[in-house]
Amino acid sequence: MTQSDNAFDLEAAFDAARNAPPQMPIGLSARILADAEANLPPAPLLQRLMAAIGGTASLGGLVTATMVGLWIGVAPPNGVGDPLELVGLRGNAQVVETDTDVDEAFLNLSAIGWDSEEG
Amino acid sequence: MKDLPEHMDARAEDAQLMARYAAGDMAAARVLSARLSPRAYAHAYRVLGDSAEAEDVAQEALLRLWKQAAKWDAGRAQASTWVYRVVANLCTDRLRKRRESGLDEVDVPADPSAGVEARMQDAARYDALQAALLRLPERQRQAVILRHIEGLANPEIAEILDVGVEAVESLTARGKRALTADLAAQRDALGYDDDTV
Repeated sequence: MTQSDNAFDLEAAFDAARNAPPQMPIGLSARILADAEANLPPAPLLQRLMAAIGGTASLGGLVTATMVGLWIGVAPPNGVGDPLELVGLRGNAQVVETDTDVDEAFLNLSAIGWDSEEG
Repeated sequence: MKDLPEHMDARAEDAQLMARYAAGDMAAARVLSARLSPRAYAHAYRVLGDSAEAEDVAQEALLRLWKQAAKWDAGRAQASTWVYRVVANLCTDRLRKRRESGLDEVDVPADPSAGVEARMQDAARYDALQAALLRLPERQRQAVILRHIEGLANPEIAEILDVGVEAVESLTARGKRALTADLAAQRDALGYDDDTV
């Protein structure tokens, strides 16, 4: 037996070991993934907010509703109270005027009989 | 999960998977686990020679990886190298505890005997190598397994074992010489003249 024979045998043994790695015990992979799930880092704040409002699908509706609300606040249609009065940022004169507008609107409705009782 | 670009190197790929997991993507954890768990278990088993202990080591190493995800630095070691390093250290700790508790580090008989003869005659080449590996000093054992069975490059082994590349070369060379002598002695003592060992 020569030294080179032994060296060759060793390389063959390495090859055999490389080609037949020890198989993981049943259940180890599942336990490792359970650890991964249990240690999942908390999602970033933005991601949690998105989840709270229903995800990206609901974002379009939310933006539309926000813009409509903002527009109503900036330029309220006739018959709608001025929001600035509600928070006391505008004088009572506007309130009186607004009330008048409401009365006029009501009179207009009466003129076409929408306020008459049925029967 | 979206496929990773083909040109991406392993380190960047691992970093991206870690980032995805840190952002809550369990699919990324499954990919990482499928890649790293078998290697962690195999290395621990070959170094420790005990399935239950290797299982504990592999699970602990991956657990530490998950806990690192939120602060993983893409510029640091590749995740596989990091896991190998944790596995190597955990194995070293366990082998040290075995020595301190008075248990034999290796439960494979070193001298040829009737038990060994029966084992050697029935065992494949793989089993003979595993038995001889368990008789090597721990550092040589780890270096030889990483180099010649796991197939890692010396610089990566140096990073895993926290030594220089020259030290890795020395460890693997001495380990191979010791293995060759061990296997040859076993074969001679048992009167083998075939090529099974």
